[in-house]
Amino acid sequence: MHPHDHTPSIDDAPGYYAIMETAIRELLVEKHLIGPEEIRRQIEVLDSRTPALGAKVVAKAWLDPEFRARLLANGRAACEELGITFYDDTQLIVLENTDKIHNLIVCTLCSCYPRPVLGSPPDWYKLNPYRARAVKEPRKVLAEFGTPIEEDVEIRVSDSTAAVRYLVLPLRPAGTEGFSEDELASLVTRDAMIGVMKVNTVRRNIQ
Amino acid sequence: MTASGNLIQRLPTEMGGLPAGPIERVEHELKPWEKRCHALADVLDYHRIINTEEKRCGVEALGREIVSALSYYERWIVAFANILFRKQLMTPEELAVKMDEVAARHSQETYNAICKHKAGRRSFFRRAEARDGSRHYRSHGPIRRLRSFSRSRVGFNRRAAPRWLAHRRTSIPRTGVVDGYSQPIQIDLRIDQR
Repeated sequence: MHPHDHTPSIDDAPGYYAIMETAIRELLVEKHLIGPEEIRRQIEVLDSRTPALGAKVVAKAWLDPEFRARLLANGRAACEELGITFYDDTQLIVLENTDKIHNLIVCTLCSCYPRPVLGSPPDWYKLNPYRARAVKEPRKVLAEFGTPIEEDVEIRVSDSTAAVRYLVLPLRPAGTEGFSEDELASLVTRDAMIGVMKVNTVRRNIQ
Repeated sequence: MTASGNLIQRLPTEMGGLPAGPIERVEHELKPWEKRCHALADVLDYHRIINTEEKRCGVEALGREIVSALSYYERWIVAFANILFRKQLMTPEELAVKMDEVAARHSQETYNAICKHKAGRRSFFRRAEARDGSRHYRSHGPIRRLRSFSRSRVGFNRRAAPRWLAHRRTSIPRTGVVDGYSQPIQIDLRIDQR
């Protein structure tokens, strides 16, 4: 909304929990438990994390077999090679889709997600239906996402933890021979790296 | 297995395999306070004050009723409060006083914005007319809300204070009470001033 369209009112007042957040943050700063600028700096870090980073990793893995081998051996170290820093204490395991295996990631306990490379998870990833059903009826869940998986393809569901996060390395779509790294990256969506979609050759904006 | 045996087979927040409805593909942009709350989680983790697993357990400890009533980041911030109390890094009283201060500061800012803004001024002046004994005074809508708001600001009508102030005293200690069975943790996490 354009700022001038907005009439200030007492409804602009922050809610109870927003006030609690501000109060806790200010108390922590007053007690020198955290630095005064740290939250702002971390928001900048969080804002810099979007699925475009993951897409870059995927495109590079498609083009560079040695990088792909390093990525599958140690996801975090390979991402750090590309300058993607891990601001938390998480390890990254990259799961490669093949003609015979389709990977899907979930967090049945809460909302663990490869945030350093994908940013924030979508709300549906954090809500009960996806968490409950992905591990029990993944084929049905994938069909609901418009991603039917052939019967002879094995579906592997990986349940994330606080310390170990997963990223799906999707199959490179046919017809992309000769594409540059940037062109390939533009095909890779967030949902493909969660595993609920495949990558296709129709270019789309990264969600 | 007995019925109670089934109960202890899974953590309260563990959803895997439970019956559930269709996946609604909802998404929303984080509100500014939610983003700050997320950044706070990362910073607390970085300083080893509250790590991700403690946060998850903290949400779990809120119990099913609170978990289902609160939104995602609301659960986080309440869990942080409880963990900080338990680690004796802040007290419920300190938080209550600080929340009062923050709410009052926002009230002042909102009041200033209303007075500065054209439409806000209009409703402010309408209120003045009403006080002159105008028979067209209506006791609903923005006029009434602004009255109660400005009164609470100067502090002579606590009952008219905004709802978030009225509930503050009762709700903080309730969610923030330290559970009786856990021993206080002796911990000093103060970091060097960098």
